[in-house]
Amino acid sequence: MRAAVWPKRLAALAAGVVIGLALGAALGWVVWPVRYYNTDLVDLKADHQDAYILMVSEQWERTRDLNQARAALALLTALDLSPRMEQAAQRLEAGGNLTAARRVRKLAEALKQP
Amino acid sequence: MKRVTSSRPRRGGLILWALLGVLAGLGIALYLTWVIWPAKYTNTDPSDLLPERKALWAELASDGYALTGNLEAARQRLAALGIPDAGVYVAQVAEARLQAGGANLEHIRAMARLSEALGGITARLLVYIATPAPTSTPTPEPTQTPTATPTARPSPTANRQPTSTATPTQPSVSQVFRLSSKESRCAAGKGPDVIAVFIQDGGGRGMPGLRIEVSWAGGSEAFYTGLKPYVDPGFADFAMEPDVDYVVTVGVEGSDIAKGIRSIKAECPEITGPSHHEWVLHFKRTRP
Repeated sequence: MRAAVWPKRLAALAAGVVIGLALGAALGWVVWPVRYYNTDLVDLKADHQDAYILMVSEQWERTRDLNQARAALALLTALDLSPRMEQAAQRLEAGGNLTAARRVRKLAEALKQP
Repeated sequence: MKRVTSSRPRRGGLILWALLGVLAGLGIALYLTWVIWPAKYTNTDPSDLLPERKALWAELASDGYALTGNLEAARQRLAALGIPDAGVYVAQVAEARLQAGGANLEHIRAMARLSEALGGITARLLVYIATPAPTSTPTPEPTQTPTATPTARPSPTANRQPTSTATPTQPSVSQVFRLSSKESRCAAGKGPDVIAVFIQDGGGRGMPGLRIEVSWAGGSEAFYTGLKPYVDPGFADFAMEPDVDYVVTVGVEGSDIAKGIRSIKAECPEITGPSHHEWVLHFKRTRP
């Protein structure tokens, strides 16, 4: 019977699709994932973001240009900066970098000014 | 003869169907993983940043170095950018900012200093190292407090009033600097020609914190002695541009002016390897 051939063909097709999906997922997510070469500061790992916040704090300590510091930190988050800066200060403090934590808190305090 | 039709598909046919399935599945999966649900990169490194953000990172690292003087920290911060020659990169960022115009000179100086520390400084940026902005107002070295020369008091003769008030002539407290020598010489090392200034007090000691003014057609700059104490406390240098005539003086009114200072194109046969010229100016403090 010719009709009896189709279930087997469909089964082979379905098995192929499943294998293809698995293979494609492995390729697309693991082997050749989409690479973001031009990411922004918001995409950085938390420790790199902390380093960025510290560098902005150091720049501010040197130049006392609050607008520049505000603009630089706005690239990191559009939300309220205070909690983010406190997080950074706490992590720096936990890492034993007390001077850095103090610098970050000092800028956070200055940024509260209108 | 009866034709026999088998209900069993041929093995090759089934493999073909399975391959079709694989291709279809692969296509669907790649569409989903690359377009619909691509891998999210929320935990990226600075090396993945946009070029302008990398430049900002380098500028901030330079300012951090200018503030703390911690070269190792600056090196680590720049290493995160994944750029092989960080010093050259910092210099390129500074030059690009200068070319774009409206650059903040504080940041340019910081980048110039960091690129120098990392060995990537360019000739154009050397000027920004030689002319740093003072972090504090230089305190002029205390000069001798003038003592009033005692004048003859009017003798207390009865009924005699002095005809004039006995006010001593106030000697000037200012100091002037005389140009004691000016010479050009060859120096080893690659780089632009340099104006090297030494300022000494009357006892031959180097004087730090003194402002030196250098001017040329279309511009002027000020720089300060004392920033390279390892050379001499009274030393300061300035990188020259080719084919520019410079005039140099100590920033004190009435001091001598060194003129006719221009970069020299002649070779230095006595020096093997790269060389440049130095204009060495010695100023000595004298009382007016």
